[in-house]
Amino acid sequence: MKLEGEFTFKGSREEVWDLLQDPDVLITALPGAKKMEKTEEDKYEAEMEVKVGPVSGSFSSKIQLSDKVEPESYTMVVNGKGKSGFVKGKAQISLEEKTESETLMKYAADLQVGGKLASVGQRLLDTVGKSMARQSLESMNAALEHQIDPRAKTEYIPPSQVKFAVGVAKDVAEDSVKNPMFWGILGVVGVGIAAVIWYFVK
Amino acid sequence: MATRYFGQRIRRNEDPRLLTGQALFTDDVNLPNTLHVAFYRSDYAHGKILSIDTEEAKKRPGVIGVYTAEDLGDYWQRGPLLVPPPPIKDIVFNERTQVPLAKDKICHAGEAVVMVVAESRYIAEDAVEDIEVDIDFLDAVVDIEKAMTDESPLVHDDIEKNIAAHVVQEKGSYSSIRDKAHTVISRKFIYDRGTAAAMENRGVVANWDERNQQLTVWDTTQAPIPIRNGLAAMLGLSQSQVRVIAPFIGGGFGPKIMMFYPEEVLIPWVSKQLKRPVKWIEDREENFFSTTHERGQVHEAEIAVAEDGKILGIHDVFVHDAGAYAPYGLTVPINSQCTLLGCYDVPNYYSEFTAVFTNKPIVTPYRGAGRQHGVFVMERLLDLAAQKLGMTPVEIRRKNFIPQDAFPYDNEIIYQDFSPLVYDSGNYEPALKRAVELIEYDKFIKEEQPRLLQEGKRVGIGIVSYVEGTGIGPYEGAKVSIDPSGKVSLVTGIGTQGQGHFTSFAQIVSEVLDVPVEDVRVVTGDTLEFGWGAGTFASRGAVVAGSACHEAALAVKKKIHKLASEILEASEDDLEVSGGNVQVKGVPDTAISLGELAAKANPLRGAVKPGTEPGLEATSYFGPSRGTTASGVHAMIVSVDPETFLVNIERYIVVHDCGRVINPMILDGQIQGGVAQGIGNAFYEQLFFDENGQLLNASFMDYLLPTSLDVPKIEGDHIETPSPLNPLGVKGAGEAGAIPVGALYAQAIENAFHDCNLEILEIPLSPNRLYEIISQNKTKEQI
Repeated sequence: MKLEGEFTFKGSREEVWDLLQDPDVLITALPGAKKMEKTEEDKYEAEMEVKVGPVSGSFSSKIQLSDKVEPESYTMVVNGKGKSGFVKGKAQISLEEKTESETLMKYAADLQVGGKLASVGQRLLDTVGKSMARQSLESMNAALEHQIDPRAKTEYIPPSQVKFAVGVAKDVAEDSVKNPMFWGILGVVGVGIAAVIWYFVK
Repeated sequence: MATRYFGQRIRRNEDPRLLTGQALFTDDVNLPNTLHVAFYRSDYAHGKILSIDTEEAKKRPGVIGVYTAEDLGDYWQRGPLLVPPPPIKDIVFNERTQVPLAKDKICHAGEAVVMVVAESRYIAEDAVEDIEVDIDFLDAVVDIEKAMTDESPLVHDDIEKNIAAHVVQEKGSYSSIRDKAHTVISRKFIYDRGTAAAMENRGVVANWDERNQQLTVWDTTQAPIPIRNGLAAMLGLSQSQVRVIAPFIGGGFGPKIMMFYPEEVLIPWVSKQLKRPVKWIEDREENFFSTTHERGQVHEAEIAVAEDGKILGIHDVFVHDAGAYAPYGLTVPINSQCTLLGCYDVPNYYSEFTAVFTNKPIVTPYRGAGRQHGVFVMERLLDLAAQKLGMTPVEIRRKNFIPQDAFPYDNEIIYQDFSPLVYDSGNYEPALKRAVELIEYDKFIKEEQPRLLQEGKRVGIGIVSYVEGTGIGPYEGAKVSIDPSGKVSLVTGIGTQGQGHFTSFAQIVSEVLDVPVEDVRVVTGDTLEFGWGAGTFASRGAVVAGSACHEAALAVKKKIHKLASEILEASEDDLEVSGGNVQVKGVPDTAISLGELAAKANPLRGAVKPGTEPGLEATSYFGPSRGTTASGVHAMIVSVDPETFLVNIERYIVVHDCGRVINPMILDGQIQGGVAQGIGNAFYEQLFFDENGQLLNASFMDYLLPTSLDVPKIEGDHIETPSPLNPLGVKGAGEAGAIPVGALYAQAIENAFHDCNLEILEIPLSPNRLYEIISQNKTKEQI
């Protein structure tokens, strides 16, 4: 699975850099993340709940940062394993100064996905992956804005499972059906799914 | 005149039991105190096992045992090579068979690594999740053409270039005629993987009875007797201590003739270890990985034809995907190589194949067993040649059929049964003629198609022919006996998977003994009842076991005559067996019922003549000198939606020749079912692997099976060209329906787009793939 994209953070490059190394922020921003620890310099361990279509389960991941050129770029090696499969691969992340208070992040990940996650979940994998990336980055950005100015009107609330599920449903719908006719229907379906998930996680 | 049973549309004896849910399947075996098994299977397709941690799993309440390869001790052995390579000159064959549990290396995703035995399947599955296996990831071998290159990773470290086998077979000399040909056409053909997707997955229940020192195994196998023999040898038991029962099975289709699957070897062993019944039923997801697959081949083929369309020669070089191991030898690629020749007189043939190991599930025969690939290549080459020469598909086939007076016809190469590929009999022209009539070929081309095209509809017609090598040896047996009740018991060693054995075998015996079919009780697939035989495969049940039933019934009839002649004091020649009695011909007063005679054949006091055998019972065996060749023609009309590229079958005709027909209704069912699987293979089903060997559609959400809406009612007719190789004149029919469907789809779709210069050189297709192929060459307007 290849994930590529860009995202503009509202903060300086140094601030974004620090944010990306802070496990306390990352845990709140990563959908489904339950635990994230820095085990040693540039090494992290995380526990995450992942749901891709009919496949769900917890994943324990080891993340290692390397080739660090502060505050410009780094490589992230991910090795995640769970009951429903594995994800492993590399991501290249670079930060460019757009303006003084805006930073453009470029990311390119090449991930191998295996087990049930691939054999049963692959149909939704790309969309869910993209959705997770997008939502994480948006949450981090919100956290960043909050950090820079705690009085900013954007109040930072870490995304809940329900919000994440709705987000995924929305992205899946956007990805698969371009016709706006379906939007209303899928919105309803999304809310329905969210309600069900909310019922189970509450 | 006796009632005729052979050749009649008789309702199936087994259906009441099946339709009312009374038939015993493996999963119905529920013994008290049973333990349940689940497997830890590798998520990785290729890797080295660094460590296995089962401590947590062992601690889980309800877990009885957790076993890794190490824990099996000496019982850890590679599976046997089921089919040795045929005696072909200069053959290369690198044997590598599967292991019960992966020890050092993972060779395909889904390979079993740890076996968990627990009080319930729930507990076993949970305990599987407690297991930690650390695997060092290796690059996977996926693409079969790249597998043979120097750069490729190796599935098995000691097998160079992943070459499982290399075989060249040649008839005549292709190179000497190539330059003389009017037209030479070469193309690359691709045939990709699918799975049999039987309704019933595999399953094994084993019960070691410590007091009786007896092992009973219920197994969804097509070959209970070889399984018994193998288990006895592996477990150090005598064959009489092991009873293998293959009860009713919800579809075999070939993957269940693969023998000594890891689970088949492990469940009986662990039952003996723990002295308790043990059960494992494969779930659907496991089935996608641990049951064998079929069909990955890439052919580079060439046809040389004369101006009049006569084939001068064929040249074919192909790569065959063996998967991670090759326990079934070369049956599939040899079938492709041999079946390619089809119904045609091919004077010069060069065929070379390389079978390669890949990090994908194992390939063994699945309905058609490689024949599809050969038929696809040959039929496609003929279609391309016909087009070039301005002939119709019908004309070029007719031109090249082996004439009726040329049988037996020697193809001068070696077949899967190690015998020369000699067609015993055949008559291809009438089947083609009949199919052309039934589908109204000329009318469609001249009237229907132009009319519908004007209405904006894309419709096409296809017609293809094929042969099917069936009924191969070595042998099968049957035991027929008459009860004092007058009912007949018939026992044969082969297993049954829905073919109607309980009826067609009964019909064969009823025909000889003139008893109603419902009075013949048939037992199949229980080694306690019959212990000699090879199994159900290669469309051989009716031919080989059926002939044995016939011979045994004749032997019983002889005993009836002999005993009755003594009792009635009449010459044996003057007696007749009719309506459940034996009597002096034309003198009903002398009639003795067969039941009464059976009782007299088993006296409890007094003396018998020396050498007298008790009862009206006989066992016979039948082994043909070689396989018999069935054949047929399939034709269909399709309409293709020009927007969605969904292909709808408007009509489907099968004219089939499997020699004498035992039960036309059962045959129709075999053909219908075969075509349904062929349709799936041609247009719906395909297993997708990513570059790491991960199977990407291992569920019925993503692996599309044709539904009843996609499979039309097959129309058709039978041509009967009896086989001279068995007393019944029968030929196999089990795989016929599935074999030519890919080739037929290709021709019919091309015909529907005949103005678009479309070439279909691959199977499976799908609406999406069809759209891609068509758009590669065409603008939207042309579509």
